[in-house]
Amino acid sequence: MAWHSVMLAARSAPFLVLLSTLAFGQDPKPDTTRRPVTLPTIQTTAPRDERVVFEQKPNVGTITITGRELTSAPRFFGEADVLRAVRLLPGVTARNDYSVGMNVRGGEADQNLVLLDGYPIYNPFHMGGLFGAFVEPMVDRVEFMTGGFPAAYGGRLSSVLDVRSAVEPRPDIHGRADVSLIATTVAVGSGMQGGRSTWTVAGRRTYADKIADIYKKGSLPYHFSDAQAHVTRVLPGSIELAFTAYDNVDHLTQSSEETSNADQFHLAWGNRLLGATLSRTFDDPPLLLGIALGDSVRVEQRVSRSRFDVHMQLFENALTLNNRVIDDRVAGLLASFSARHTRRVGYDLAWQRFSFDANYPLILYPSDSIVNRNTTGGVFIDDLWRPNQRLVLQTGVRADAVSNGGPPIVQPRMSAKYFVNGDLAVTAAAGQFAQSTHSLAREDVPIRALDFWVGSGPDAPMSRAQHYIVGVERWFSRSRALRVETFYKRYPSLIEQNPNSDPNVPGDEFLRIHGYSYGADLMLRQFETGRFAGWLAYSLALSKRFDANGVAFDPGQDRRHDLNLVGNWTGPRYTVSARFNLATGTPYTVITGQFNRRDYDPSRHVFEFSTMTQFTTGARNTERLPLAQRLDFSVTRNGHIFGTKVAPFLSVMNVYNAKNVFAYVFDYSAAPPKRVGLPQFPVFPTIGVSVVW
Amino acid sequence: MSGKPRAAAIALAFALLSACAVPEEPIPIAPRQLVVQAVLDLGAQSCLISLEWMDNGSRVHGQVTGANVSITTLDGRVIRATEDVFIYTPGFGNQPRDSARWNGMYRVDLQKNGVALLPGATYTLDVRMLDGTHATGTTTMPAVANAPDDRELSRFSDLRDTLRLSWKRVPGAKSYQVTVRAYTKDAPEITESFYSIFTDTSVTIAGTARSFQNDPVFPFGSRVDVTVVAVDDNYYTYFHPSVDPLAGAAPSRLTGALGLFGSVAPVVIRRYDVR
Repeated sequence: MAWHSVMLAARSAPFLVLLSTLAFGQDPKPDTTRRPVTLPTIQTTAPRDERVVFEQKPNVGTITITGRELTSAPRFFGEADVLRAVRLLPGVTARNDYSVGMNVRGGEADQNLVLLDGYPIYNPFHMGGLFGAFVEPMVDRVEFMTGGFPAAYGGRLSSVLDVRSAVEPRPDIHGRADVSLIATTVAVGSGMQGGRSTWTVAGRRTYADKIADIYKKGSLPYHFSDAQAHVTRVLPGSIELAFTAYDNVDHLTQSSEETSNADQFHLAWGNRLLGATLSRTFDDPPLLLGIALGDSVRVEQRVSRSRFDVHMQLFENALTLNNRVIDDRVAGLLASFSARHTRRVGYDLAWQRFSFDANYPLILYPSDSIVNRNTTGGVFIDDLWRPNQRLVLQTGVRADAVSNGGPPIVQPRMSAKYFVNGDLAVTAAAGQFAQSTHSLAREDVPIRALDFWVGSGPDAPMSRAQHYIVGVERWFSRSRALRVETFYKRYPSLIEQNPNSDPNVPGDEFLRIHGYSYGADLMLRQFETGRFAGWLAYSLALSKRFDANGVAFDPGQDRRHDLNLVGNWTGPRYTVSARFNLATGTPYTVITGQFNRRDYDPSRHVFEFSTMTQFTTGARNTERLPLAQRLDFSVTRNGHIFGTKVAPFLSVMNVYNAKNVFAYVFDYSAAPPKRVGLPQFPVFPTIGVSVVW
Repeated sequence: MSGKPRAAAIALAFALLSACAVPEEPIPIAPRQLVVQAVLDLGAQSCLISLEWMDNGSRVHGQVTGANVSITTLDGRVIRATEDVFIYTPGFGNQPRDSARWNGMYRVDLQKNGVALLPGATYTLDVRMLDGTHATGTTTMPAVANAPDDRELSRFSDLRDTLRLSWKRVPGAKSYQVTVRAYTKDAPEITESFYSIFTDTSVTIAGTARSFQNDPVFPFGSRVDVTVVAVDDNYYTYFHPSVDPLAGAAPSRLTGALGLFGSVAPVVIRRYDVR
């Protein structure tokens, strides 16, 4: 028998790997004697991914979390939701139940880059932000960077949410089905060729419309659906190919035969993504211009098309709104690895087409037309250096440019970690960031149903920010860690939608603002090793913005305190999850009075008696909404039927029906005047079942 | 009670109190503010000025009486306004049939005073209230001759026809407002639907178009008056933004009051019988 060794690996839990090494002799000469050999068994515990990252990277502002951990929080309307769970992390605040996106460390909600396997997604939400659009069983892990992120990431000012698709390396078809009152999700996958090829496919669709059709056809003409696929394959020459496809769409359409033309409407919005990555790792890399590239080199090339569409047509086109984003992108990376350095150099080049038009003004968006055809380019170089056992330094620089957007913006970035001892480290980061994609949504509007995207141009310059972060990270045990970070973010250049933009005047769609945010956030995290897992996340943030006239105001996202407690108790039969949130109010502009704006009828030369109520306002965002708090709860019965894991669950959102106000309606026609608080979601129980095979 | 149970009890009481809170509450009465809305219309024989106090939660009635209102022409001539008074009409409740007549409406009768509005001329509005409140504003009439009143009835099919109009650019006009007012032949004073848009120098409206209130712009069987007016900057700034509670009222060009003193000049006038 030729000399060789065999390594057996068994992964029974995310953190435990049992290894047995079988060594078939050290002598290359054939051994024809067949005799039993007793081999020693080695048991070792692999460190958690988070611990590895703690030891090897500065990871300032970065939280790595598995999809399983994220969805251990109680379900929202029975749906496990990665993006909703991300809002429970430190540094993140969510405005309310009716707003898409999130605000990270005082930043505006359009400053967050969402990536799926490295490809950008523009609006990964359903139902105006009620649900995240990622199919939960397809999420392997999430890396969430709340500031000071490395030079490899560009295009946004505040955060990067990098979602990685799950792979299924096991042979045979495995899968999971989640059935709730709202939707059914099915995910299946399999590994082939010893795990060298894998595929996973998942889909989700709501069916409230179908149930309503039983009683009256077309009575609930809304549904959303998701489809996601991820394929990996190792090609000849050790070239790795990964392919990701993603499609989500919301449909709100009333066009049945019973409906008159006047009452028909059509609203649809969604994302579509196709992306492919070719990569190869060279264990014995060649010299480049005579320079050794390191012990190994990884080369990666990505190509993708990401598309976002919104189409609305109401009342025979009395109201139409369209927004389209097409982002064709190529990106590449060369990374070299050596004992002390990990160096990366890369680029991305995108051809972006943005178009927006609306023929009727509402407060959610302008009545205007905006078209951009931008070519954006970015290059970066980054070096992760471990000069000694106590210090890790990551330095880099990135340059981003956009056609018609002025000169390139050079963004130096640096982060460092100093180990006081093996479990305690002090971290720091500083960097500059630029953004060439902007949302037309206004931060002051409490409901953010959708983001409508446009690109930078002569009248919408690239936004810029600077981050300064200092923190401490402490591991109390292999399953418990604490991280505290303070931050200061300066925004020398931002833009916001002009609520009084004139559709006949090009270039007045945006107003220029600037400002700063500062604060701190804390995360005490219990990893899943025993029965309890969860985290405590506290965020403190204070933000100030200045309008074009230099007038200071608190931006709409300025939530000062936000506390989230997320816990998950797993027993032999039941898993109990709970989430409690306590958050101070965000600012709003007080209404100071109202009068009747009378339409003038030039055909009769009189004022129309029918009028619209016009409100007058006080100084911008000087009042605050009240404290909000909420408890969500779910219990899951963990059982098996014929060897298949079957887990029915009960989930209750807003257990004690807290009436958390997200906006006020003022009435000055009453005496005395009054305001009515508009509450977020009331108590809502739901049931469902998960089946895993 | 020891520390932990007491803390838990306080937390529970806090949560329950919050859960039971009714999210409606009285708020303080806001300061009183005058609202002036006035339009000089080159095609009209009088100018209407609406005066009212903004609703501020007090029991003070909004409409203003007893004010001293005048318009000053370019040559310094001062024309006093008279006060319209709403006369209760049985059968119509509090809804006056003539929308030009209600308390707080003032009228400058140009014809009676022998004044002709001039294209390109600037006019000043002056309002003095009994309590001493003083408001002023100016407007400049777009420089176009009065459009011919082409109200000869034309037929229009809501299913087959499309309204297409174009006109020449007017000096001094910020924009052009197209209004489509529908009414019945038997009750021309009652507006059935009112559609208004601002545009440049042309407009196309399909016969099947509907307003955002989902009313047909050209209701079958109705009469429709289509009017295009050139509007000054004050008028356009006041009316073109949507009513936005979060952005507040459109910027006022008046001193001492909120509202509008603007001017319009007709450039197209049409009347259609929708069949």
